[in-house]
Amino acid sequence: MNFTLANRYYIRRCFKAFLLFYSAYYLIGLVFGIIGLIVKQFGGNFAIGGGFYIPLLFAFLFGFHAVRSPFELFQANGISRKTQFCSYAWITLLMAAAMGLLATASDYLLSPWTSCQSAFNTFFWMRYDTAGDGISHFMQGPQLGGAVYFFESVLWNFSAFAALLMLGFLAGLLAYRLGTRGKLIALAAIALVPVSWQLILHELDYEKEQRARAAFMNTVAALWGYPDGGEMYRAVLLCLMLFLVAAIISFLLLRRMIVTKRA
Amino acid sequence: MSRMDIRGVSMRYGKNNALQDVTFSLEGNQIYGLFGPNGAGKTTLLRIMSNQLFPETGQVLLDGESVVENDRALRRIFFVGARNLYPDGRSVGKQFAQIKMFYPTFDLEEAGRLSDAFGLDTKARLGSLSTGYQSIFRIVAALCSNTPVVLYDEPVLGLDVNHRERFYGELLAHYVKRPQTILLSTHLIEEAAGLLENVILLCKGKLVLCKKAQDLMERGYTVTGPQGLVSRYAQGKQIIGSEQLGGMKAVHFLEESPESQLPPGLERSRLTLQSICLYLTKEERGEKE
Amino acid sequence: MQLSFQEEKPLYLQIAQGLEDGIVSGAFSEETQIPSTTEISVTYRINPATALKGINLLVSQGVLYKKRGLGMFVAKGARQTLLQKRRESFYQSYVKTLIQEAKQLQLSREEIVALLERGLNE
Repeated sequence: MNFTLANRYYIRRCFKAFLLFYSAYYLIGLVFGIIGLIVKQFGGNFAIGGGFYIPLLFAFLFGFHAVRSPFELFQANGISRKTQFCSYAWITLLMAAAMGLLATASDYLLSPWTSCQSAFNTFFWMRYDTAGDGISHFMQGPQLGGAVYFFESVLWNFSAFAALLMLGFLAGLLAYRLGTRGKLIALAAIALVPVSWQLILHELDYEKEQRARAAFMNTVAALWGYPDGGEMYRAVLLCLMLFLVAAIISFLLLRRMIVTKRA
Repeated sequence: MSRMDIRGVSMRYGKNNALQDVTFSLEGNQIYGLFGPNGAGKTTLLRIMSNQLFPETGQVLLDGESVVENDRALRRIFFVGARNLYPDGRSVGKQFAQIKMFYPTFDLEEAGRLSDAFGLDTKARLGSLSTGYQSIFRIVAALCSNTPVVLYDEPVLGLDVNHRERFYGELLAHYVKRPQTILLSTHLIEEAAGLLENVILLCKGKLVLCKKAQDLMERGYTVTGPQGLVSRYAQGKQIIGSEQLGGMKAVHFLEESPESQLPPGLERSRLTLQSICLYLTKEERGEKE
Repeated sequence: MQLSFQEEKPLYLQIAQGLEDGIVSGAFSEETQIPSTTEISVTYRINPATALKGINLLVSQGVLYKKRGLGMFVAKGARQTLLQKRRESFYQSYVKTLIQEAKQLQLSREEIVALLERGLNE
């Protein structure tokens, strides 16, 4: 019964966030798209792209903000922590599915003339470009892939959004539990990673550096299903595993968490 | 009718023993007062009882079920504390509606009526209210919750005397209409004395007593007179405090007072509940002279 | 009826006393209903259990009785009983104390009587 109540709360929260985010996202995308079309009429060139990461960022931020205020409200209203977790996990799946469908729909309807393309289109359009006619069909996944594209796009988007929603939640939990000192240390540690990586590379001689960089890029690409843009299922697996790991750690962090707010 | 049993609850904050082996019961449908000095562990205890904190040892049972992470039990407990855990951005009216979502027994109409009575603006954003009115929002919510158990932690902190009196009046009015198991933690002991049926006294994390208020008040008295006479009278009795001024001495007792056996030259007067709690906690803290 | 938390008497005794006063003065006539515990508790801001204790004390003394489903009623002859009780209590509280105090002040029997006469004549 409490599960239903918590769900109702999270769904309302989700609706509000969706409304705000997607109306802004599509509005801006459409506006720029129309401007681009008009400019093209006059022979000019105006292309806006790269909006693909924005819904992904939204998912992460939604997760991040789904911790503190709901947690304190639930504590005040007798909702247990495990109910909060289960409810959020369930809502994540629903949201990821919805966002996956929306992202795919935008690909079909709004790409490539607006910035509202999904990340899947951006990363994996090559997978469907089997024509081999030497022409780049950049961002034309939907046109090339048909029904297969639809299924795979929804699947990939679903897993990516699910992973980010849960990772955001995990980040939110860490932020809530760490004191100011902890937060500074965490941010410093995060910033230190790329910095120290660069420093290490700098110390190596040129050849080793190139090999190290290549190895790094190749590992990322391999996990992600690149470079031939074909192995999207590997990416789906990676995202689902991230989702699971983030979920498990989140559960462990939440289950004995206490309100840190001072009066 | 719901009862709560607290058994052997202990809790530490770092090196401090916030609560040590606290055991008592809240019988159904009675009003309990929870008293004790600052830092006695009252808030810690209440937060443990409402699943906000976890006890290191011991159990908190509602009708036999542990409340820890127990949604079904928590549905039947309403806790109002000093911290505002409700979102700042929502209006008071919407907060009540949201509370009703979580507590189906919540009476929205009554919340409206009480808001008027207290002068609480239901259209105002919670975050924009003064601390006093934020407290009033929380106690109105508690008064309208209609849950079997209600726990109040310093409900009238920062409230003026009008609001305090109104709160006590509404608390009683609701209680007689619809009995609940109520625990009221407050520093204003004398104000609450008449409302209570039972007193729970905490000091330095330990339970000092859990008794009927009437019994306690009937057994607390002071005997004043010449030092020698008073000391003789005090022999073998349960003393909880004393003062001396020159040759006159006053000794405070907590025990059955034999009505007419007072030796001549001595005077007897009753101790208020506040004084009884004061002397008992002084004793606990080792401040007895 | 005034309730005082500072007074010597426990609250429930004050309640009982107040009800007795009402019966003696005729405010509550015999065979009529007295205010309920709920009314008393809300009016005087005290726990209903306290009000009930006071009422039950009077019931045990035969001053009040319970009519099932209706409430508490003043017993027949209650007023008379109470007056009698108060007269005895008057003797204990005032007369005996007066004599004790008078002895402490070392007043003679005649002096005591003279003071009483004075008081009666004023």
